[in-house]
Amino acid sequence: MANEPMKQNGWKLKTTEKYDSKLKWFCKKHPNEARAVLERLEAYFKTLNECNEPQQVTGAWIHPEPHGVKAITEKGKGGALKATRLYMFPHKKELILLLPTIGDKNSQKEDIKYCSDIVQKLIADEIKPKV
Amino acid sequence: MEKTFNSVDEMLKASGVDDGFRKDIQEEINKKQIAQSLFSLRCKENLTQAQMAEKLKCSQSRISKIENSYDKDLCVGDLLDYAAALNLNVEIGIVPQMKLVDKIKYHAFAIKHYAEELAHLAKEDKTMVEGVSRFFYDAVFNLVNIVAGAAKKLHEPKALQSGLSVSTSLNRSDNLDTKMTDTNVECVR
Repeated sequence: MANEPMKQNGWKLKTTEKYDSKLKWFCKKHPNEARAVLERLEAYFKTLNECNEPQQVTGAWIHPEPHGVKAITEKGKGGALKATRLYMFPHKKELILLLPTIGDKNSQKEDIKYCSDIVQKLIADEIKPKV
Repeated sequence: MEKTFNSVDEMLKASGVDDGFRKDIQEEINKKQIAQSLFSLRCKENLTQAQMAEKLKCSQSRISKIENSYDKDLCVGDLLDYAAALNLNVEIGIVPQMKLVDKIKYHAFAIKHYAEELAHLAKEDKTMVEGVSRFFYDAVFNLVNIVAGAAKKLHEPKALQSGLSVSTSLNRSDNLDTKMTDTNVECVR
């Protein structure tokens, strides 16, 4: 078709309450770590909008986690930074990049479980027949 | 209704993060536009850092370092290497400082120049004339869309800008990158 408008992929960001409150805390207590992962979130989000395919967006600082969750790390931003993970789930069907939470090594296990639960619920809700 | 955001900056604003901190992040992002662009170009070609390293005959950590660099720390060689690996050309231009409106006019004249060149090139060949006609028709449609899209943004929040613009090639699924500033670093297929 000749006259289609140029493609606008239109991914959007969505946060959870947990993410919002932890982000504020992180920005105050660990500004350098927060800055590092947020900068990378910007790079990821821009690239996702250009590629439209989450699997194509790869880098040493993007860790795969269970159930399609990905974690942005601070790695490579300087040795003095505390290990930090900004969790995200690219929901391709809705074109939403969900940000469930942000955390450090201490909360890693709990954070991953929280993200997995959210994503599983999201997917379960999608396949549930609507009455 | 749950709120969604079009940018990280918009999300940070709504999350109640301190304004100064938010601006710091934006400034930091602006200092890495070329590196960000190289990262996007690699991903668009569906290459991992390891595959890119293989193409460039260097280590993966070097690729990682390039994609994390500040623009001022990158060298032209890095751009040339990336461009060669992705079948792109590098164009670097330094142009006079202009008002935004003048920049749009400057690019409009460039479009006029290239469009006339294309028409001249095609005029001896019937098939080319048909192809170029179709292209012009599409171009008009796209240009109108671009201006209409920009007009829609008149009431959106203002983003921080730097003096550097990075544009990448127009391919398959790309949008026209209409950022125009004092220095342009472009990768053109």
